[in-house]
Amino acid sequence: MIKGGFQGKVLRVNLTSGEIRVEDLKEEWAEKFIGGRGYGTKIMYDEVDPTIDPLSEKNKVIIATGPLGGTFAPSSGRTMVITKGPLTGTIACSNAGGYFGPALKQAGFDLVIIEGKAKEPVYLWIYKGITELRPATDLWGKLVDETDKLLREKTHPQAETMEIGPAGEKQSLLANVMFNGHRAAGRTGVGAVLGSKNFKGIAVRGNQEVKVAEPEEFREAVTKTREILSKDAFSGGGAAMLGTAMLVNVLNSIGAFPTKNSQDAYFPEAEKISGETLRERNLLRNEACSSCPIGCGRVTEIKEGKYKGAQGGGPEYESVWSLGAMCGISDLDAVLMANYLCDKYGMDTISAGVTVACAMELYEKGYLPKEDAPFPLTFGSGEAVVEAIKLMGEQKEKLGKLLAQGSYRLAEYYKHPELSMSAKKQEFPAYDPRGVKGIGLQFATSNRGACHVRGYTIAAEVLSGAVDRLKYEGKAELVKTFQDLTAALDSTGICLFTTFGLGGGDIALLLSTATGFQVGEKEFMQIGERIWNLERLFNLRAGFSRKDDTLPPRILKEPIKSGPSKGEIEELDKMLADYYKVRGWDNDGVPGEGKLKELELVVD
Amino acid sequence: MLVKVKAYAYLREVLGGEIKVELPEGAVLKDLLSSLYLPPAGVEALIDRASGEIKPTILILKNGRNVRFLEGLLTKLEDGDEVSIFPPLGGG
Ligand code: SF4
Repeated sequence: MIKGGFQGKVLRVNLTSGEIRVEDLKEEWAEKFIGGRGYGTKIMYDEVDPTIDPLSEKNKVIIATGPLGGTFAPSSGRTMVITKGPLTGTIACSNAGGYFGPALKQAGFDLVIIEGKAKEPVYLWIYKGITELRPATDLWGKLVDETDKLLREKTHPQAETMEIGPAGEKQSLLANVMFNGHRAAGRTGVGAVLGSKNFKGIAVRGNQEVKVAEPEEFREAVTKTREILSKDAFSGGGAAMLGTAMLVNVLNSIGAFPTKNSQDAYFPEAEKISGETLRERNLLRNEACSSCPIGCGRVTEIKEGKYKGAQGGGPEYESVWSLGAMCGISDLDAVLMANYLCDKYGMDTISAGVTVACAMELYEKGYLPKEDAPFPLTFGSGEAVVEAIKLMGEQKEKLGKLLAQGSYRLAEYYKHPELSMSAKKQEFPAYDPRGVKGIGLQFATSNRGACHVRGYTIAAEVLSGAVDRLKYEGKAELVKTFQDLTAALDSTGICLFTTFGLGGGDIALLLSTATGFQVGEKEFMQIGERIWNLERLFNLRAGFSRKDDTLPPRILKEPIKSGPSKGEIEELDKMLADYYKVRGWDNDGVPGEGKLKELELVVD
Repeated sequence: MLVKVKAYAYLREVLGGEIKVELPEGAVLKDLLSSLYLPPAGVEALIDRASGEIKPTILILKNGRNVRFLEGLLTKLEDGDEVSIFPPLGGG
């Protein structure tokens, strides 16, 4: 029985009819799927036909917190956005940090389900349990940071906000959902789905406490986990010093730092865009999400040159790479500017950068004709990246419209889809699978297209160095473990970064004492496996199959040209069959009946 | 022989960003990490005094390969090798 953690209420907003209903949270689902990503996926699986067009009225968007959100559990500020993603056509879940999730809980709700389509732009105001759809015609067209500010002006100065920018409104497949103006639920094009519904955002404020089941035991679990995190050298200080951009030098030093649209995996000028350089040149201050002792976020400023004075959140490692090395750029100011612009338009920095990189290769190879390019799209030109991001965000000219659809559709249009560095049409993050074998298996099998945070094997393959990054053996199990752990974790409402210090058992303890569920490490991992399989079932029903669990030919066939991983390719076949076996799936990647029974997943 | 040592994040402050170290032929990683070649504070940051081993959270690469998968402290060094040293890492 739910005794705490959850507020027990779900808000269902039908934009077509304007009706807003409060429903009870289903206890049985909460026990089987927790909240957040798991519960949201269950709603999608039960209520949405997986074959629909993601940008049609029939798609739904679930904005979900987890039972630890709004408690004193460390790093518990996450909010998940679950939908059928338009970039990939798969089930999609993106999540962001900040303060929105806890505020939603304080307003009395665990989840919000957005369905239908509004006739005119609207936003949702949730205040102490009162909910209201309000016109947003005057907000339509506004940039993300402006929208954040205006939403607070229109509602309450201390409201927390969620919003889409012009990219989402124009249904760019790279559109994200932003929180508080600069925290992004970045991937899979979730922002476009809200745009297709004429839904600009949410402002929320509340003052209800989030009660936990066993206050004494919960407090002890919080003290214990916070202590672990503060002693751990990364979460206790390293993360705050350099932020995630610390990884630039690491990944480049091992030669797994994709460069110029993955034509290489070593960037000689990496130092110029590294976390160390960023700290010296641009850091204004650190920033932490709700209840987070780690504080990996940062606010930066461009101090000189033609973008002087521009400020913004980030950049994260992924963005420094996608808008930097992937485009051959060592001009950190241009990278920062492109990053700020992505946030303003509400676009995923990873996909945006990789799409520009793809355009650059198409251009340099002569596949993208000069007449389609308003300026030379040459690798290494910082100005080209900044200008391309503007075109993409505003969908100006033919190129802007094409870029806004992501690298796969762009490259397909110019008849060279093999130059899109993506899996299931979603762009790669900042790790070259040729130099880190397990992460390639993760990209290929990820349920939302290429992604690192569905199964961050980098932690074991590179950072702790627990396993050899260049070996194939054991990677199937490793990928499964990381995938299951993350699926469960994303359903609790705490941040993935806690796992650098905490194990599944620690998080299960927080969860149990908060909710009253009896969940040990084993059960926690099984919940993760259940969620992973449910996502897979959604995708299979949407038409995906084994053939989609693959990587671009460049990664499979073209050896890395230079650097410490020179000569490496990714032999995915050496791991994929193993992976299906470890998962209890058949040779086509379909979960067997035994597995589904074991996970208590009924199929129809 | 000449070996290049690159340190990152806060280790830069104790080891210096990039230094070149002259080592006798046949030297191994352990020789490089001794305070004869690196500042004592740097050695302190890298080596567990009780066991004499590299601290488990420190990542040391020789030409991009984690020395743990080479021969650890006994990894042989050659002229022109690049040794990269990282403090505890995370992120994503
Ligand atoms: S580790 Fe970083 S992203 Fe995670 S909750 Fe803390 S500040 Fe937010």
